[in-house]
Amino acid sequence: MVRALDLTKYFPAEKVGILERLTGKKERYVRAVDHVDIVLKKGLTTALVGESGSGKTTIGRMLATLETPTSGTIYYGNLPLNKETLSQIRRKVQIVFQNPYESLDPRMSIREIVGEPLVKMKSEEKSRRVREVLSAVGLKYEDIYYRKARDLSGGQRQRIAIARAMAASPEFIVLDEPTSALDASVQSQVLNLLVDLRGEFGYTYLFITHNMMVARYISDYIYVMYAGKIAESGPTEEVFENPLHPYTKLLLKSVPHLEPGTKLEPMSGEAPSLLNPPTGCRFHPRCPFATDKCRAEEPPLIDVQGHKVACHLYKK
Amino acid sequence: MNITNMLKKTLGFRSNVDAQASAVRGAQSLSTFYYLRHKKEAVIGMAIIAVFVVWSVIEGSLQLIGSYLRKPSLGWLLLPHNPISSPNVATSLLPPSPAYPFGTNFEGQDILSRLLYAAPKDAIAAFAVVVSAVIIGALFGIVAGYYGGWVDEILMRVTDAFLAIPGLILAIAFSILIGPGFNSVLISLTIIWWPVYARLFRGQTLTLKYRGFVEISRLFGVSEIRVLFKHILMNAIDPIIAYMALDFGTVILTYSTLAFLGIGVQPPYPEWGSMASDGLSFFPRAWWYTFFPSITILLIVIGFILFGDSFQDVISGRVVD
Amino acid sequence: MNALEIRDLSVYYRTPLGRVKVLDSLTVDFPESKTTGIVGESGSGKSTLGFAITRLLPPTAIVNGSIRYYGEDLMRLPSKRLREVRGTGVFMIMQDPFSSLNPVKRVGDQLLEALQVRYERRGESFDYASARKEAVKRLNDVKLPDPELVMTKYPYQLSGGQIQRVVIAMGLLLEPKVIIADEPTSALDVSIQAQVISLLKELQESYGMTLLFITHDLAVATAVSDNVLILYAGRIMEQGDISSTVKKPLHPYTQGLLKSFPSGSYKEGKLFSLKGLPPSFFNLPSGCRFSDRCPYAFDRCYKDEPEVYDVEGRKVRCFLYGKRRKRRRSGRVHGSGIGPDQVFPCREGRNT
Repeated sequence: MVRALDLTKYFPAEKVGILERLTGKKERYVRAVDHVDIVLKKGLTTALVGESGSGKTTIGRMLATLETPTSGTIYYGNLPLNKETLSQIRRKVQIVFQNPYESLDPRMSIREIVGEPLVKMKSEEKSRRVREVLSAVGLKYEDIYYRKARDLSGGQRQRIAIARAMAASPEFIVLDEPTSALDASVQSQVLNLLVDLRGEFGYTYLFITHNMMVARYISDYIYVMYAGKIAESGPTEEVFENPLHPYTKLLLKSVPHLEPGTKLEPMSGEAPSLLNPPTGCRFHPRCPFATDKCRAEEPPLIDVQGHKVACHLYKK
Repeated sequence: MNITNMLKKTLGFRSNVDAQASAVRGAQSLSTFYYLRHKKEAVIGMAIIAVFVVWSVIEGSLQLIGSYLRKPSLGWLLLPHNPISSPNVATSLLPPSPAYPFGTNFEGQDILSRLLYAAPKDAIAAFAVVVSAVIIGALFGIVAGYYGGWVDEILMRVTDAFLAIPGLILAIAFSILIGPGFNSVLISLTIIWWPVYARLFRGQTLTLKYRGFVEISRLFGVSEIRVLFKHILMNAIDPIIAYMALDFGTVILTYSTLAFLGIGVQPPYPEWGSMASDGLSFFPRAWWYTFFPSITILLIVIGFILFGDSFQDVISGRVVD
Repeated sequence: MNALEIRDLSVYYRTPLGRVKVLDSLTVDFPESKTTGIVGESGSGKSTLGFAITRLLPPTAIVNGSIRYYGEDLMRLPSKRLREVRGTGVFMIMQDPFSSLNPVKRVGDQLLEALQVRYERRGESFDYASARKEAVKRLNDVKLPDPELVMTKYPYQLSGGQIQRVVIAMGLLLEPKVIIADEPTSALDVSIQAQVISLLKELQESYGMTLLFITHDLAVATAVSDNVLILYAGRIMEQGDISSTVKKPLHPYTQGLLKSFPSGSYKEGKLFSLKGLPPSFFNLPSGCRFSDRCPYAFDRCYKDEPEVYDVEGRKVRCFLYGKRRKRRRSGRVHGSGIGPDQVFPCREGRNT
């Protein structure tokens, strides 16, 4: 079980040089993630859904130990993340990136790529393990071990990225938009594969995506993010059957369906700047139900009807 | 497979797997050369370079062995005439003829023989300078780019300092310091050559260090040296190799220019640049004296440019996924 | 009336490994004032089709066939006339918003440039004041807030969605008869995508333009199109109105695409997935290009490529629909003899 408490990440917006600092120029920060609590249940898939700028990727990277939080703590089981526990935790955490073209070294052979995490293994053992994980993702070792990533298709590359993530037997895998760059027909193959692997090896998944339908399919729990904060969270089916937050509702209505004749109802406006987020509830400029309270006060995350919402429209 | 076994024996691979992998990888770089075989410029360039390199190796070895065995005449075994024969008024400034295809110089020595004799030095200069520059530049550039912060600042300011040094002045200074000659030229050239590579490597490193596979390596606990070497260096080198191919020609040109100005190999040993310079005073009467050395320099440099250009095209095609 | 009529369009690319035929004798009509979705996965040739129509293919491409734009064959036009058709006749919105605009010119200047082109072509004199007013009005039409401010901005100061809208505004200023949109929303967020799609649809309806919407996402195509083409490996596999195509897909590929859409939860069962991968153009299967992945393939499918058959006003390239008329008359089974209704009920497998 992975728990993140009060997770915050601010990025410096620009480099403030020495001279500028002397003349009193203040550092500005992009508030990518603002005091967020996330709980991932062991052996299950939790989806983190949002658009660009929502902070979902940043959270994923923090949970994968690739970024250090500006504040807040992350617990992996009972281990808090800090300098001493870092290497121990890193053995249990892996990440699969969105872009299969970026996450594999174009100059390495598949065998080297998948074997890279196995730092402590000897050559024989390594080959055996590589063969094991490659077949687990549906690839034949003999056909592929010597080839370079650039000769393979997107779907195959993503499988290799998954195989690599599995190689060192992690417990927790962060999947950052793993199927967004893939064609529709390949996407379903990879999603099925991920479900199977989780069933077989008991991984805990954090599945980051902007695609609501994929999130619904693959996850048990879902967090809907907006502008660095959680808008709504809860068991997936609950949230989809009964979306409470106006953002969630509008988001669901924006998704194109395979129903000819349905009109899309797009939201107005654009995602807010994270340098100067709106006061109060960050969604209020685009919310059709915004009240004065929404403009002034940030809504807390409260329990409503089986899941959590951050919206003034609801009382406990 | 024949290739597999051959590779196993010659390169000592421990398992069939690695040998096979290498064979396939070799096949992929073969396709690069397949492409190059079909481009006219590349072919001409490669031909020129091949002739130059092969001759330099042969002649250079002869000179080396000759000096080791104290039989310098070995150096002109394959040459039509003795390139450093004693001055002879009778054969001075003769126009091109069957006996002296490129004519003779003021001292009566055969220009062709002297050109051929001087060739290995140019080749060594090109190779030594560029390779050293790449090694030093890679060290500075990759470390600066990867670690950033004040490491980057310091290393880059040092690089800038070296970049600002005027090459000619430095070469003159060195020739005074440690005496004129081949080695001092090599050192001077290397010193002014590496900063460019440092910048190139740093630029490449900056883009590479954010690539997914580099980030992920951190998670695996791969040692940083390995990351720097395997991931960053190996990927950075592609576009830089193309630059290197062109650079060989530039080094030769600079080397010849220095020789032209009198810095470098000293008489009686021939050097293309100094031959061209000496011949100037006899132009246009004994036009061959400056013409042939200049043409030789031009030809070799163009050869590298032609090849380097096409090579660059192929490499950029390869790097863009 | 058809805005575009394409006949036997073939596009080859010259590569170091030989000539590759990406589009093979494509024949299709695009009716005017309607939106036609061109749906295909990566490598299906859909972008090539878009670029072939605007004649913006790279120099390594060889194009054969004819593309008639209101009767004029774009392939045979002299360059002067071709330039006239580009922009005010056929306009293209590209996939990457950041490469559509000149990064060193302000938005306003670029829009005015477009207007200048239109004025020239119509033989009208360029009046700065009224041109500027029109540009601002169009920026308003595409629902950009603060259009006066946007005019002064540089492209890097705008987001992807905003740039796409500026490009659409530019399109409106040119008043083209045909707009080709090449995956205009793929790089955008879901909510912005919805905005851009609704906008395009609105504009298409109010101005009666012909819109060709290229996408890999069948759901997006459903939201935006009247008709749809399904491309696979450079061939049109199915063609027809969007409603019937989605409700009663004919071609096994279309059915596969529809079935692989994620819906419901993994607990309800696995997602359908088409086995295998789209073929490389260097290595096309013999016979029907979909045969190696088709669950209904039979002998003939591996030997010959099917022609296009007419089925209920739509077209499909599949032997399963061959010789239907004969079958009805004699009652005996020819070819596969199986009709669409018996074997392919719509969206079988999971409840939506």
